[in-house]
Amino acid sequence: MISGSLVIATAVVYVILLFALAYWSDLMARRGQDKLLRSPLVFTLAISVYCTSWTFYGAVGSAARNGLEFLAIYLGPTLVFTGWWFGLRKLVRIGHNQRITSVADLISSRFGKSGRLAVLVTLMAVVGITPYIALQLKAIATSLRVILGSGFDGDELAQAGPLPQSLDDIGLAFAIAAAMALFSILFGTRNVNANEQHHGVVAAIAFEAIVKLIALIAVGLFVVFSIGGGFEATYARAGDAGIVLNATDAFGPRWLTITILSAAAIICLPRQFQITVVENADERHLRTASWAFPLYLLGISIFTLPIAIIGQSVLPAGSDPDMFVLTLPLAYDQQGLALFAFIGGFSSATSMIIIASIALSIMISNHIVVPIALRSTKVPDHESGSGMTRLVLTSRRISIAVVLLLGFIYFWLTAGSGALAPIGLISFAGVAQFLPAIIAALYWRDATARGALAGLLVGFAIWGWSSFLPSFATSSEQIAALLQAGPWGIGFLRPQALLGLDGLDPLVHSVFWSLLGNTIALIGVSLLSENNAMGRLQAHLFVDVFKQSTGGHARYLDSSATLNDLLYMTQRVLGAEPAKALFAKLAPHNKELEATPPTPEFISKLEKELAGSIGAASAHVVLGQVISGESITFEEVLQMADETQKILEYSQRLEHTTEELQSTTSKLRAANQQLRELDQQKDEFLSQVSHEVRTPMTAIRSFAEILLKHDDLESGQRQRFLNTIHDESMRLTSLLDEILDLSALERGETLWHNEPVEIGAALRRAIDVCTPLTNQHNLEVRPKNLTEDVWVVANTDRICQVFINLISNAAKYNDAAQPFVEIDTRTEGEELLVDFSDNGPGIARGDREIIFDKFSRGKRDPESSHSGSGLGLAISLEILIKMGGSLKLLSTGGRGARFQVRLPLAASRVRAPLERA
Amino acid sequence: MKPDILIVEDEPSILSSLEFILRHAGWTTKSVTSGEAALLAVNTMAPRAVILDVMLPRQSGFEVLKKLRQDRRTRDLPILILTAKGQQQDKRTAEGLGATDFVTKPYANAEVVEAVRHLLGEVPPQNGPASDTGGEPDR
Amino acid sequence: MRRRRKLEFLAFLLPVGGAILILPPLVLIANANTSIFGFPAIVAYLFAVWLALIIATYLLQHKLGSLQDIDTEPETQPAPPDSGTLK
Repeated sequence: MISGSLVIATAVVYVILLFALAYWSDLMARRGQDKLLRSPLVFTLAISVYCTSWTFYGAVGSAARNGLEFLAIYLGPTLVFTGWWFGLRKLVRIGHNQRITSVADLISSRFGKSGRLAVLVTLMAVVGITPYIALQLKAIATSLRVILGSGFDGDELAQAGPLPQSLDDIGLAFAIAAAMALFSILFGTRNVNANEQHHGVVAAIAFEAIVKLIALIAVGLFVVFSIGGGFEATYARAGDAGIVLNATDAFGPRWLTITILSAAAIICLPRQFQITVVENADERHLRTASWAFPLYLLGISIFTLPIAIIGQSVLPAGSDPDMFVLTLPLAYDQQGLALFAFIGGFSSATSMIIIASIALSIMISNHIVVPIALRSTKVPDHESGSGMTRLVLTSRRISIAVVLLLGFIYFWLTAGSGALAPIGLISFAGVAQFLPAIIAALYWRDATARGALAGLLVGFAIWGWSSFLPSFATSSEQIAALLQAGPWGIGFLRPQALLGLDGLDPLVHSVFWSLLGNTIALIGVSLLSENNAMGRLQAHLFVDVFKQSTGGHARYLDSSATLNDLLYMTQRVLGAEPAKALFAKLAPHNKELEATPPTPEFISKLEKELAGSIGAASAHVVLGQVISGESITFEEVLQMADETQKILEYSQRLEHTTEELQSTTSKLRAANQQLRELDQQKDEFLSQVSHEVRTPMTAIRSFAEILLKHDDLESGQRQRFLNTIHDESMRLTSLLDEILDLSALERGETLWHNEPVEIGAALRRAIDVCTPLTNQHNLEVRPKNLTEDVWVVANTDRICQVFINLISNAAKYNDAAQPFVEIDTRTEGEELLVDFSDNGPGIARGDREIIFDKFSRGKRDPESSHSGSGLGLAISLEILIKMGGSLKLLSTGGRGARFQVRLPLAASRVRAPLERA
Repeated sequence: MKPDILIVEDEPSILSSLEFILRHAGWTTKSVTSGEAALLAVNTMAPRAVILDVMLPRQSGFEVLKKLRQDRRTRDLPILILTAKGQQQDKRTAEGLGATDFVTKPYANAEVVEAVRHLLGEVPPQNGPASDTGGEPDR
Repeated sequence: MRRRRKLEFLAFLLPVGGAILILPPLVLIANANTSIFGFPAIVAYLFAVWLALIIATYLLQHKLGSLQDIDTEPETQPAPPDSGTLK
């Protein structure tokens, strides 16, 4: 029989011992005699805060129910620690470089020091850890009840009789929570340390780690060798105990899921982050922890299964397997051992609660309370900082109380629900939501704050819906109903069968969906968004932490940066050769760069030199990084961003100028091409002019020579030859006139003013002018529908020229027996249309395209004595275009050509005189 | 009657001057004003030589020349090309296509007479029709 | 540099190899109903793999440690003493 007072007294003495240890440790640390405290062994043992009462009590229960599954909880962390070189080392390095204070700080720092992210992670951590704290409360309460009720016979142990103080479970748990809160506050919030390191606490935790390990091994040895008769005999009883070791589905999705979860938890759990990253004094301690921590886990797990087997086989059916560690020694009347086991379990629970609540309180005060306080103006003594310190300490103390209160409330609401391990796994799944963000933080440069926020929110929401909420099902009928039918009867949203994914283990289901949604949201939103300047800088500092100079270490050592460090950094900024030249100039006497610390003069000179190439702010920041390890302040970053912005603007201007140059070049090239084409057109034109001029010249010269040589020609012949010479001369003259005319038109010289012209009058004038020619060719001109009072904007002389050209063409080329040309006018919309239709030979199909080209005459009737230059239509077209009109050759059914003139009508039929005025 | 010279020219004034000059020099001529007519006339009239203008409607003088040279019967027919585009390019094209001689407009009458004489192989200048030797002058 | 790459590859291989060994399908091979030295085969297997990982990590961290020493300078200064006192 263990008396209640003995148990309580032992626990109190134990706690006092822990306090003494913590106090002494802090004292030693202050005196600088902290070699032992800051040893890798203490670090490793402190990491063993991972092993809580879940391990101490719950693992046995888990083994009794699910066989080897409990091992996955320890194999995951083992894998993470064996891979320390790639994961934890980077995390710790970043933690040191960036003065990271918590997992929330890590994520928010990486993603542009986002306050929103920090708050979100903090809240997630608080909610996620709540079941875990409840688990510890439950374990302590149950163990206390078991050990205090141990006066009863073994048979009645299962029912665990009434407590001496007649406290019920809830009251006991509340009392424990309150005591734990007090305990944690006393331990963890005695002061605010700049780097959030708590040497005393760590020492106490390390001590507790030893206690719980020895206690569990002691119980294990007793159980295996005193009760079980050795390992072999013990395992031989597994079948009888109902523990199936070779279950076919033992290593299915659940095994994988738990391995992943535990691997995530060893990084993401706030208390693990606190110990491994924040409390880490030296990166090299990881080296020891990499093998020693897995060894610790192995040691603490080695007796789990045997204890479960023996407990199942010797203790009465219905005994709580979670309490075998305690009930087995009690059943065999080993009260001393039972008390030791109780202290071991107490150790594992208290160490977890202390570190977890400290870690959470740091997050709450740093990321929620302080930012709010800083915004309000009521912070007292803001200058001296003591007011701030008081605020931080108070907020941490309150936070610890709140965290424990929440744990208690969770315990209360889920009272009586199941075993320890499933509760722990809910927490694991909750904090595992940090994993995608942390991995992205360390390895993926393009991960953005928005992406992290989205991933965390999605993962947390799915976890809350599919893991956290269902844990209340045993105590809430509504939630139980919700699990069955889904919200509002929507089956797709059933918390444990999302999208109808039924038949999976609830844990596997929840972890799968939450991590999948989390990762997809993180990646998707990151790809869609951009990091701001701060985010990019931090991404670089995180992802490339090993590529940076020894800044990670420098924060402890204000003068540890050597000239060599500075040279290395300068080389990165300026390039290898210029950096060496600069150092030779600034420090010509120092040969041993490795060992020589830089003088202040040297640093200021170097800063000036660097400022010349990367800007003053950047140089200051970069040098500060190396020399003092100072984290970059936000103002500095803003300044840096400002300079970067200037450089960006400059380069954009440069880019713009380059673009302009390019565009000018291409315009020039196009113009050159156009010129070349024009030049070619000019050559062709000249060649054509030459040909057109040579033809009449040939006739003139030839006949002139004939006349000169043969003075005996008969007068009729002589007369004919002279006529030819005259005609050809006239042709030559008109050709040259037309060339000049066309040239002027094409140069865009509008040698006339447009004015309203009455089209009927213009047509009649053209017909009059052509009368001699039409008479000569017997061409009948048939004006049809000659409109009266239709006005167009044109030049009277020029429009007549066009009409004359069209009529004379009809006259010259019409070979019909009774040649005629029909002139038809009408208006169409805002345009006047004049058609010239003749019954001549028409235009050959192949010539229709080129009929308006210069010097093209179309099909020439060899027998007719035409004298066209081939420029008439080209000139007409040019004139009409200048008047805003057009000239087209319309297709005719059969014989004849039909030209159509279009001209814009005058806006109003105002009389010309008015317009002229 | 088989003419001495077939003139292919579409400009009426030039055509009449050529007719006058050549007839005055003692040759018989026949005139056509298009390429198609020229091809027909060469085969039906079998002239001793052809004066061919380049700028003809539809079918250019070069095309006519090419067709005549492809025909076995007219492969060696002496042909004088007349062009108003006095460019080296045209001269080279004419030689490439197998023209016997090349005269640029505007020409001196004597120049044409001299060229035709060469064409007909009547080296000594003579008045009156020459014998029907038809040899191609070596130029 | 080559030595470093080799060591880093080994450091990478450890957790990956460990994961392959303890996760299905490899772990299923050991999940047989036999016993080794009185331990069920699967228990013996998992603990053996575990122990092997620990030993391998122990051996490798010595080598990696020298790399880390290059990366990290030893600390010569003691940490600043805590300012607070125990209440």
